[in-house]
Amino acid sequence: MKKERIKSIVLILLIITNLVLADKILADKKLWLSGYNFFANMRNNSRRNGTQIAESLAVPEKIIMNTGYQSSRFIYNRTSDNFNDIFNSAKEVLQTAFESKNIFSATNEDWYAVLSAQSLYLSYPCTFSSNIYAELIGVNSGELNLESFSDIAISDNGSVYINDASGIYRISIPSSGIGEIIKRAASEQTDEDAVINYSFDLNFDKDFGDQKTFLSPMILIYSSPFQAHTLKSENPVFKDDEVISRNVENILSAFSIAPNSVRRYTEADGSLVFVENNGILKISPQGILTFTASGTGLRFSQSNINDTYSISSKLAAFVDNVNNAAGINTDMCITSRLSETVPQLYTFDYLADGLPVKYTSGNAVSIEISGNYIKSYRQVLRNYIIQEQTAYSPMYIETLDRIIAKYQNSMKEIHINQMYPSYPDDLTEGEKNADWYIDIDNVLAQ
Amino acid sequence: MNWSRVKTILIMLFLFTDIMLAFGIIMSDHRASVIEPEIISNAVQLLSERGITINPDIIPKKNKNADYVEAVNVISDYGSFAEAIMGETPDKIDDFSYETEHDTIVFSGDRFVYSIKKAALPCSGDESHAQETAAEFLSGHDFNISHADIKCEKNEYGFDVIFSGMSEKKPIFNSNIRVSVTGTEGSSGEAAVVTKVAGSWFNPTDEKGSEIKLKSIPGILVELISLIDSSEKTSVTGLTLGYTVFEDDTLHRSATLIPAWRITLDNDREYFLDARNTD
Repeated sequence: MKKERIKSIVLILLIITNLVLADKILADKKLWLSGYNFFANMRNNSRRNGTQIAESLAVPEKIIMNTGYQSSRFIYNRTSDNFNDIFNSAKEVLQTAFESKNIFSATNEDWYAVLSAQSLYLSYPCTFSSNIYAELIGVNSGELNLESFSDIAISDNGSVYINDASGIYRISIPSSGIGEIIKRAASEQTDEDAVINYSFDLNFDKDFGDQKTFLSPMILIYSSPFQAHTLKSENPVFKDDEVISRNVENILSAFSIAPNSVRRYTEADGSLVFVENNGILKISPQGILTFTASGTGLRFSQSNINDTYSISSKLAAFVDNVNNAAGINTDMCITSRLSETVPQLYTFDYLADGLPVKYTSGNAVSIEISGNYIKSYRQVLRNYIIQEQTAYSPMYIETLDRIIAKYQNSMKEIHINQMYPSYPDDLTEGEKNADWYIDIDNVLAQ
Repeated sequence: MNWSRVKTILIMLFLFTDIMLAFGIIMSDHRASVIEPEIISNAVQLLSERGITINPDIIPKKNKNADYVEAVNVISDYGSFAEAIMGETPDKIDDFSYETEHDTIVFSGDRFVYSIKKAALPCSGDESHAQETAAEFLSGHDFNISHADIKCEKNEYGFDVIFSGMSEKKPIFNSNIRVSVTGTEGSSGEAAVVTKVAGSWFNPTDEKGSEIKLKSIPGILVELISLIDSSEKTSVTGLTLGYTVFEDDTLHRSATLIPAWRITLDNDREYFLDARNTD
């Protein structure tokens, strides 16, 4: 028996040694298929979580449901319970509309009338041409030839309105069927949530003689402070002055920077610098990633593509890849102009708990391309963790008064282009509460 | 089924397979480490056709491996290094230079030049005293010279002591400090003080970097061809494997030192080529 036991142990040891030696040969000779690495694929698949930007380019930042009853409106952002159902229903309507040939011009008054009746208003953080939007929702654009829009309204009487830079257009379709959706949603909401006006409802966009402050007609006026979750902002690369090496290595891979060939330094301010033949990648202690290409740049598409739809999709996938590598789970959306003439600059911004995150230094991600190559890439690497605790924003009207008091002496007229809830981030770590984002002509205020 | 007999057969089978695999790995490693004489002579010929001569005897006959070396610059930031070297808070002239009543320091990337303002004078101290003075100065300012290679050269007024950093018996090309030890105004004839320090220095850390395979030296020599004007007639006088920081024109607080070959030519020009096999 003892002899048998010894034989069993020897056999097991020989099998293990066999596997070890075979693994050494496989690893040294790189005998797996070129480009295939089972373990890397497993790792990549397990990392994929959070919303993928590339799959949600056609998803609006918010949908406003106008009940048609005075100022009763409900705002749905991407984290709201019924958002996906509402958008999917709206998308079916839009797919029909974008293939339709029944296109008519409309007026501002028509547009305001739709938003005052039972309708859905889809608001996007970027602008589209009709061809690109149609591709994103999976249809041909038909007769539509619009250059730049970010607002779409769907009325319950069978019309879709698009507020384009060249004017407002109405597309007539058999029916939209959104009346049922609105009734159901209205029954699920409480009265407290519902009183929201547009600036045009209250004539805040009109000149009444001595009025000096004008709000853009589509600005939402909240009757009460909004309540939002507190966020915890985390730097996924530097934590407590230590570098999270795993995330750094993954980020290098996302930029096709080989660990064996990169030159690594730490600068005087603590920034990590990686120098390779195709460019320099730098990550500052504040979590700002910059990549500056040398030569032709970093190729982001294996095949040659030269249309905005394909390029924006590929770049969104690239940003998804970087976010996955850095362990970033926060949602993001594209915020640059998607025009027929292929843009060279693309920007993306975080959406935390459905609200945009705003930085004074610019967008969360900004990418400059040339052809199918990335020439420069900049990203604020952040994870925004939604906390249980909530906080109320300052009163809308008090904020407005504060802005007016600040600028009334230096400006003859104050034109407020945008005002909406957001999370301001000064790039320090820690807790962030929501506040009003205000854009005044060429001056930004918070 | 007689499991005992099956086990015996399996043991013989796996033992045989293990021996074959181990033999294959050993032979493969041996073949990878040794450079065939034919390859070396081809490389020598290729260089010769481009006007570059090299004595085959100085070419290593075996391929080498090296580890990455994690290192920390003695200069963490210009201001605090200047204050430490000068022993008092200096006046900042610009982003790269500082001075006090007695001395100045100028920075360029990872390099610096420190010198006292008083004129150098002859001193009568000997070489060992100069070495001791220089070593004491550097050690007192966080230069880890415990493994450094030290040379001494006579200068007009005393000695230049040259410290070259080493890691695992290979030179760190960016760790090179020249310390001038001479007499100076106000000192007696025999007293020797540090009057100038110039160079750059990285202290290796205890952190072990990963091992990296290196390119074969014939491949490195062929790369050299593209760097030298083919109309020049030149010869290679030295081949040294060491570590370097390639981008030394900006300040690096720390760096992963890269294995590199230093190729020295007869006109004293030096080329540093990345030794890593990145395939």
